[in-house]
This record gives sequence, C-alpha cells and structure tokens, in this order.
Amino acid sequence: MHQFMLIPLAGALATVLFGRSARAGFWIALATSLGLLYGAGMWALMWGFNTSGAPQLETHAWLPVLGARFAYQLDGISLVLITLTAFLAPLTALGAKSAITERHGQFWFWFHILHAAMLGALLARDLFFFFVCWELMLIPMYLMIGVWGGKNRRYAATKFFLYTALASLPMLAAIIWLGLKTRDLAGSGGAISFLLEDVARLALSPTEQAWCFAAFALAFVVKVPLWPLHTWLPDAHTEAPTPGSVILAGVLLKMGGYGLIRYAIPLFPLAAHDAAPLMMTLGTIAIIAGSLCAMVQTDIKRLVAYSSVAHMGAVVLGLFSLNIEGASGAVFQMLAHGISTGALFLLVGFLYERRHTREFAAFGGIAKPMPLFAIFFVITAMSSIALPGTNGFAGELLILAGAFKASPVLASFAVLGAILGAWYMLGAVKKTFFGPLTLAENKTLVDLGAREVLIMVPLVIAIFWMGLSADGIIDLFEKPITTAIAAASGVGK
Amino acid sequence: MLHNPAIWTLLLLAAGCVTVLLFGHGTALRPGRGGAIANITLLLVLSVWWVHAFHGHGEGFDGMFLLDRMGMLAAAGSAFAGFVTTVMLTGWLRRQGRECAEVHALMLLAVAGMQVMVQTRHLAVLFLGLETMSVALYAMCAALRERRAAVESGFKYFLTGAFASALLLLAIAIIFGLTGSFHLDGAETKLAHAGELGVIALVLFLAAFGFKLSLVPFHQWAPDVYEGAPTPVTGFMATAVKLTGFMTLLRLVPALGALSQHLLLILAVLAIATMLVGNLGALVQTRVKRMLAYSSIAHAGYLLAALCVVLAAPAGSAAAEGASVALSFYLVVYVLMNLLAFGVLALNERAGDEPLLLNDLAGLRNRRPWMAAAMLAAMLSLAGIPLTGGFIAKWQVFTALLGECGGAHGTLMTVLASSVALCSVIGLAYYLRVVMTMYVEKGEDAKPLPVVPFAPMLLVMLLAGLVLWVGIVPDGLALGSEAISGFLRTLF
Repeated sequence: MHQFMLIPLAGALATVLFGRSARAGFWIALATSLGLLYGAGMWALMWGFNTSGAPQLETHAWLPVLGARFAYQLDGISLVLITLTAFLAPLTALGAKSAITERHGQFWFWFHILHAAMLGALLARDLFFFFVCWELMLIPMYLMIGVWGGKNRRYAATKFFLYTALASLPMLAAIIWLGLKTRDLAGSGGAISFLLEDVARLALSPTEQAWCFAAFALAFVVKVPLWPLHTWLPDAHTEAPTPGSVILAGVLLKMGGYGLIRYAIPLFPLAAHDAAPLMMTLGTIAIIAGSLCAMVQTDIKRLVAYSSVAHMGAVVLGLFSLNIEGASGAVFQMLAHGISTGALFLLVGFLYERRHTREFAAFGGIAKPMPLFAIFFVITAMSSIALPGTNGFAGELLILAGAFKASPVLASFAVLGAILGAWYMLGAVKKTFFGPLTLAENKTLVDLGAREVLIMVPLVIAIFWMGLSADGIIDLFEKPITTAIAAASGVGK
Repeated sequence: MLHNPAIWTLLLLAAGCVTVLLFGHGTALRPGRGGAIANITLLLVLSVWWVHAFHGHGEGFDGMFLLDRMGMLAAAGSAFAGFVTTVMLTGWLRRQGRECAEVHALMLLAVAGMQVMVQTRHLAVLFLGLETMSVALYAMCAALRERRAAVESGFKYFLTGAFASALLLLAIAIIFGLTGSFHLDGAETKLAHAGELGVIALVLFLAAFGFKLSLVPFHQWAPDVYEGAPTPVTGFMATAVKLTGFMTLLRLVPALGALSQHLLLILAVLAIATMLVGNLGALVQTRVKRMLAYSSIAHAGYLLAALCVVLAAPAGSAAAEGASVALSFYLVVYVLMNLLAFGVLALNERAGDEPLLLNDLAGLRNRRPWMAAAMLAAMLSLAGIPLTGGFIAKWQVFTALLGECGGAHGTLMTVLASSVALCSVIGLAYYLRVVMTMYVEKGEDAKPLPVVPFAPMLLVMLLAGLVLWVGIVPDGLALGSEAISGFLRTLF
C-alpha cells in the first residue's frame, strides 16, 4: 500500500520536473490516474478471492518520537471508496483539460497532492497519519478554488478552509488525548501509539466517549456537510473550477461519511448510540432543507450543490440508523452520489465552457442543438433522483428501510425529501432542455465532442451497472460495516 | 580550560569582531569585506559547536560556564541565525546604498552575548551576556541612522531594554541578598523560605524577560522596533533573541524551585494574553513586516504555554522532560521558519524606506515561483499545517499540554490547550492571506521587485527545505547534525 501511495506522489514529482506545459501536465496526470485505477482495480479483483473479508494490514515505521506509523488497512469500505477515487481521477483529468486555462503545471501538481492525501486518509490505520492526510487535503482544494475559481473565489476558498480547519481542531485534541491514553494499555511499554487497534482497546468512560465522539463527529459532519454546518459547500462548489467541484463532491465529501463509519461510530459506540437520534434528525432536516434550497436556485451549479447537501444528509441518516440496512445503504449512497454528482458537475462544466453562464434564464430548449448532452444529463439526473435501475435507487431504498426500522417518523419525512428531489431535478431538466429555443446564442451551441463523450460514457455505464448489480457491491463492504456498527447498535440490548 | 568550547567560540567571535572593524570597511570604489569576515567567523563558531555537540558535558570557570546539550543547541542556533542574517544583511545594506562594517561587528558581539547567556547558571554572568547582546542590538536597529524610523526603532528599543535591564539587576540583587550567591545551584532551598521578597524578585525577573521576549503586556515596543530595524536584523531579533531568551528561562525558572510554582498562574495568563494579542494584532496588519512582528509575539505565547507545562509537571518527571523537549523543538522550528519568512521579505524589499505592503507580494507566484514556494512553506509552517516543521512543533506542545490535563494543574492546562487551538485558527486567517495574495492575485500592476543575488536565494531555498524536512522527519535534523558532528571530529 506504500507503493500505491507513491503513485500520485510520483505524478507530483514528474509534474514539477517535466509538467510545465499544459500538454505534458495533462498526460502525466492521465497516466498517473490510470495507474491508480489499475492498482485499485487489481485490489478489487483480488478482494473477490479474499473470502474471509478480513482487512489487509501493513505497517511501516515513521516517527518513533511521536509514536506515529505509516499504518495502512484495506477493507471493503476503504476499497470501494478508493475505487471510486481512482475511477473519477482520469475522468476529472480529462474534464480539467478544457476547464483549466492557466497555470497548468501548478494545477496538476496540486491535483496529484490532493489524490495522495485522499488515498492516505482512506488507507490510514494510524490516527496521526490519518489526521496529517485529512489536513493535507485542505491546501490543494483551497488553492484549486482560490486560484482557478470564479469571481467570488477568495471568499469561498477562505470560508471552506476556515470552516474545515476549525472543525478539525477538536479532533486533533481528541487524537492526542487518545494517544496519550494508550500509554497505560497493557503491553504498550509506556509508549504512545495512534494505531486504530490500540485506540479501540481503550476502556473509555461514557463521559470520555461523549467528548471524543463530539470532537470527531464535528470534524466529519462539517466535511459531509450536515445541516446546519453546510453553508461553506454551496459557495465552494459554485466558485470551484469543474475538476475541483468533481473531486470535492465525488470524493472529499465522502471523507466525512467514511470518518464517521471508520472512527466515530466504532471507537465511541456508547456516545454514537446516544447521539443517533440527534444525527438522524439533522440528516432528515438536511434532506428537506437541501431540497427546498435547491428548488429556488437560479444557477444550475448551485442547485447541484444543494442537492449534494440533501444526498449527504441521507448518508448521515442511514449511518446513524445503526442497522445494517441503513449503514450499508449509506455507503452505497456515497458511491452513487460520487458518480452521479461528479457527472452532473462535469456536465454543468461543459455547458459553462460553451456559454460562460450557468443561469437557467440563459437556457431553454437546448435539447435540440445538443441532443447527446441532453441524453447524458437526463440519465444522470435520473440517477440523482434515484430512479429504479440507476445507482441512486439502491442506496436510497436501503437508507429509508434502515431509517424506518430506527425511526418511522423521521423516515417518512425523509421520503418527502425524495419527492422534493424529483421535483427540483425534473424542473431543472425542463428549464434547461425543453420548451421553446428562444435565445439566438443557444441555437448555435455545439454538441459534446469526442473527449466529452469519452468522459461521460464510463460514468453512465457505472450508473447502470451499479444500479443493476448493487448486491454484489454491497457484499464487498457488508462485513466490515457489521463490525463497525456492532457495538453501537448493541447498546442497551 | 582550553578544552571548553565556550571559550573558543567567544575568542573566535571577539577576534572576528576586531577583524571586521580593522579590515572590513569598504570605500566608494570597493565593497566592504565586513560581511564576509563575519560569515567566516560564524561558520567557524558553528563548526566548533558541531564538533562538540554530541560529546563532552561539563563546567568551566569555577562553574560559571555550563556545558550541556540545551546550551549548545541554543548557542549553535543563535550562531546559525547570525550567519543567515549576515548573508541577508550584506545584500540588503548594499541595496539600500549603505556600507557599514560596524553592523557586522555588532552582529558578532550580539552572538557572543547570546553564547554566554545560554550557558550559565551564574546570574552576574547572565547579566553580562544579556547586556552585550542587547547593546549590540540597539545599535543594529538604528543602522540606517539617517532614517527616522530606524532611529526611533533603536531609541525605543534602547529605552525599554535599559528599563528591563534595570529590573533584572534589581531581581538579581534581591536574589543575591537572599541567598548570598550569584549561583543558582543550591539557591533553591534557600529561596524556598524567602517569603515575599523572593516572590518580588521572581516577578521582577519575569518582567525583565517579558520585555526582552515581548510578552504581553510588555510587548508595546516590539511592532515599532521590528518595523524600523533593517529587515534582516528584525529577523535576527525575532529568532535568535527569542531562542536564547526562552532557553535561559527554561534553564533558570525551574531552578528557582518551589518559588516557581507561584509563577505558574502568572505565566499561564501571560501566555494566553500573548497569543491572543499577537494573533489579533497580526490579523489587521497590511504591512508584511509588522504582521510578522505580531506573529512572532503570538508564537512567544505558544512557547510560554510549553514552559508552563515544564513548571506544572512534577520536577524531573518524564512529562517535564517531554515538555522541555517540546519547547526546544518548537524553538528550533520557530527559528528556521521565521528566518525563512524574514529572509524572503528582505529579498523583496526595494531600496528606500517605504514599507513592503502585502499587495507588493501579489502574484509573486508568477513572478518568482521558487521564492513564492519558499514563502508558502514558511506560512504553512507558521500556521501549523501538516508536513511542515510547524505542525510537528505544535503537535508536541499540544501533546505536552494535554498530557498534563489530568495532573495537579489540569484545569489550567486545559484552558491553555484550548487557547493554543483557538489562536492557531486565528493565525490561519492571516497566514493564508499571504498565501492567497502570492498565489491568487495576478499582481499585474504590482511594482517591480529588486534583483535577487544568488547566495541569499540559495540560503532561502535551503531554509525552506529544512522547514519541510523537519516536518516530514522530525528527528532528521538531530540525526543529520550528529552525522556532521562525527565527520568533523574525524578531521580534527
């Protein structure tokens, strides 16, 4: 796994050395991303033969002074999210080819660093290592928004950075505190350890659990982002360049959900159990509030951003149902949302490159000049509103089933969110593609080119393939999820 | 006695100083050699420390000089800061159209004073060292004596500095009166029964160091002095003076024994006030130098928080040991990253006395990509972002603070830890503003930057490399210098 981490770092080094021009930088990025995809694909294939479902572990020395190690673990949950990251990487690189028009070398450098940090966070088994990667994700994204963003980029980038950095400070304190606690464990020899298995062995009192859970959960729900801490997201998405939005929606938001299921819930089960009603309520509010906000947007990208708030609210709802249906539905929803929202942002980006506006008022009836574009957009929108057969459906169904088990009232409100979702998404499709073609600029719009179709086809295949073989994918991470929520769901039984 | 490296470094510095004054002056036709002589001297001093760093502990001059790793680290650190500053200063003065060899001589004197300060437990010797350092610095601040800001800077520093020295003398006199000796060895027991007079001495002592280290509320002079002094000298004051000052405190305060327990609450309040005022002050600055001045006040607060842990933990315990390691590590990183930041600043300043505004750095990334990358490393490290030395340093201070949360002064430590965390976030805002300005702004209408000579640029890149290296392999610096030390010993 060490070697896997080296792939994006090698890409960054190659970019510094040879990647000054737009061309070279792009090809290096494409080669690196395909390397990632190949590595992740190999892992996924091998996983089929790993019938025990036990995670693969790997540990290397790093900083003995601080008690930190390069400790990795690969299990079903990290595997699917890594595959998602590696799948989106080459597509993002292809999309960035036209979206990024200046400072190419710099962009590709940060692109690689961002991937290294994300993969590190997904693979880490050492809390120190995880935190380093977690914080390191901020800088590339901050610069992506700040340097290549829209008009209001300074504000959006700073807001993004301050929100997430502030929220992760309590987690830093909690990690150090837990590390100091491991000194008292039997067999530790008085040394600090941040290894997940050592931290999991700690016997924490309910109060201690509550504090630690609050610290971890705060960092994660800001990243998710959960209502009412979501306000950085619409700004960040609207201002970010297309590849930035795709990575942000596709992978970065998933880190929040991943953190919850990997750290917050299994490490502090008592507190997670107590907090579950609150988190589920907030998740439900996020679904409804996000959908309502999406409904009144005049900018397509902002609409997609608010739809992300709603979808990620559903993820939190599912995770904190604390039963296997809800939690595995939530992980599946994270994957589906990564694909469909990534695709939506790419499509919005294509449109923006042609017309330099994203206002609904500037469009209408463009299905006629851009039939291919319209087909792709409609398919992706269907996946976003969870039409059966697409990947959005399985996740949402499982989440709702899980939520019904835990709290029928909240689940019925969440169903309302699904209806609202269809409402605003279909409204957006109607306003953009159908109706009379009035504006002269729109009549001459060029349909998608070969490169753009090349980006969209894998995404559409993924949408249907995931929708039709959902149970095969869920099998991959069902076992680790059962273990992760076992303690929390068993409380009081 | 001649085996004692302390005497060698002092002799070297004194000889260097005389040589600079005799042969260092330039003429209208020929640039001076003062900088070069000073650099060679400082490199020799550094190599002496390197040879001895990992060997030989002991005392000299009837116990007035103390040879231990902490002192050697601080002595070598101040010599290194002096070296970097001299390289920067030579080019900076030339760009301002000035040739003044005496500044280089003063630099050597200041470094000599610092070497004395950090290697003694004898209060009279300490005072001598402190004064040698301070008097040299007063004059260095006013190096460009035709400029109003420079004279104001030197004069202000002199007045407050002299006041602080008077306080320190008074404190030393009281301690002498109570214990009958200037030596701190054995003073502990006598001071423990000294009563109120002992506390007064301690408070005076603290106030004197508060002035020198610009702790709130003794910090008022710092922004003006820092701004008026030549930028490399400001860098030297922000790094070397804080390094030696904190090392001295770390050595002396625990030696005061039971009395220092009275100090804990005062120190903690000072620490919180210092980090808050420093960070809030930096937030509103538009001049980069002034911002860095306030940022160095803020970092003094974090350092003081680490010192509080040393006092709060039971003496001689692993926690106290860990806290002093954290403090020393923070100091080393602090010196590296501030030398880097001030170095970049000095290289970008134009001739004349107009201050460098934040906007002058706009688009630095396009105009000077490597310089911008170096400044990025400095800012991220100051802000405490992972993979930089600043992160590891802050992590260790945090660990020290949280490790004592369950101890006798748990509440105080928790409050300190929370304020370090809170202030780090405020810090993010203004460090990021610099990054934003360099990387996001186009800077098309920014004024042209001065030409950068090769040697200082190389040094800046080296410093940036070190800041990152310490962040990735924290013990790499120690391992590296141990290796160099071994190599040098084979030569001698």
